[in-house]
Amino acid sequence: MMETKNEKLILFLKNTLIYSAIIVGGYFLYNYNNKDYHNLPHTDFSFVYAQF
Amino acid sequence: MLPFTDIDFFLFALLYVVTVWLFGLITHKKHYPAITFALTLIYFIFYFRYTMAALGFALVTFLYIRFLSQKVNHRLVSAIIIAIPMVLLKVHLNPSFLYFAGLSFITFRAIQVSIDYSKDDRLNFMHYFNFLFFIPSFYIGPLDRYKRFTENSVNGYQSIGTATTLSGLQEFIKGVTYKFIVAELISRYWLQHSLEEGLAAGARTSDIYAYAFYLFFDFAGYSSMAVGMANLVGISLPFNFNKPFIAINPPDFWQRWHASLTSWLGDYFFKPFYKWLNGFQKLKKNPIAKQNLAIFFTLFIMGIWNGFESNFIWSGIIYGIYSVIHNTYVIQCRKKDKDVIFGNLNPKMVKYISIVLMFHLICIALYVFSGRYQ
Repeated sequence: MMETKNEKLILFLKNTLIYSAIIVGGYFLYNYNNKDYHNLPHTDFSFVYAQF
Repeated sequence: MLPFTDIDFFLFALLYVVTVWLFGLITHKKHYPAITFALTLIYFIFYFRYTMAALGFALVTFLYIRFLSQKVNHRLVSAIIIAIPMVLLKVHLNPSFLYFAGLSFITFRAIQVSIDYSKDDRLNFMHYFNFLFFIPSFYIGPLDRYKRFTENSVNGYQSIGTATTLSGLQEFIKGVTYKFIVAELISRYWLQHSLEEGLAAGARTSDIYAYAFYLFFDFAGYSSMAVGMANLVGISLPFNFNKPFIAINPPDFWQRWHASLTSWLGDYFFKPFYKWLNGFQKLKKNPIAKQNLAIFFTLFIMGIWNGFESNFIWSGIIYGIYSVIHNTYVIQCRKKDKDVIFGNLNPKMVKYISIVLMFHLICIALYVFSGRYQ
């Protein structure tokens, strides 16, 4: 299926956003200097893990 | 080992994908179901805490579906029998030997097989086991269908290619971003961590929206990782989330939010229940009431399958009320041949108003579901 120029641009922007979020967000949340009380992904409120 | 959370699980997932690929090369793309079956057994032996209960459940339900379910007159009875361990768990009466992580979703899958099973089908234990315990979607879905999954699984190696691998990776990375970045940011910096009584109205309102977004990014992230990992090994799982916050009405929302469970409930609860209601003379004369009853109880189940705690019961009631009101509105519009609420308002405007209204209603319903109001 051929994608239009517009669709390609949207996909490119979406991917850029995702990868930027991973790098910037990942550094901000999980870097060694972040002394947040819980410097690990946590599941306290996660519905997903209510099943365990 | 929590799926798609603990590092151990990600390492196992990597091992799983690489092993499936390697065996594809060694066996010249044959024996896909046997290879995934063996890998799941390895997972059960080395990583799973509830191996015996899970294997026991698979074996007993397989034997029941294969040899006994045809003798039980009503398929609903079969479904109830299979659901017994799950119901016991929900009322906190489950003996530990019957419990295993992921029991609810495994039960949904087993019920689906038991309802769809007919004497002409040759139910194979390996395929059944693979369907119940397919590692990426084992714990929380998305919920697939036995026939589709098995056909896909038999031709698993034929489905692995550059395109599926790339789309799988893309979906997986999207899931990681949703769960480990966006949901985590919301959880750390937006959600209220102490919900003491007398929380200011502003903080409470903010918490309502925070929870809706948190739940979406956490659950959709989990589902995307599951779909992505499945794609990497050649299995196409159904999607679970599709921009639910731009839904324009309750049915639209349920097509976008936990869609695989909605579709499961539609096929295995709504339709048989609606048919069953046909047996009541009074309801035969009032099809609208019959429709609304079936809709209400389907959405009620959507809430209470999580448990019999008051927040789940109330959330089920709220989901049901939303949908019944919407259904009545649609019927009235059709009867009077005009929009009974918005009149002649511009359809685009109606759409935007509906999205805003629905968004707020969803946030309130999800907050009730969370139990954070207590």
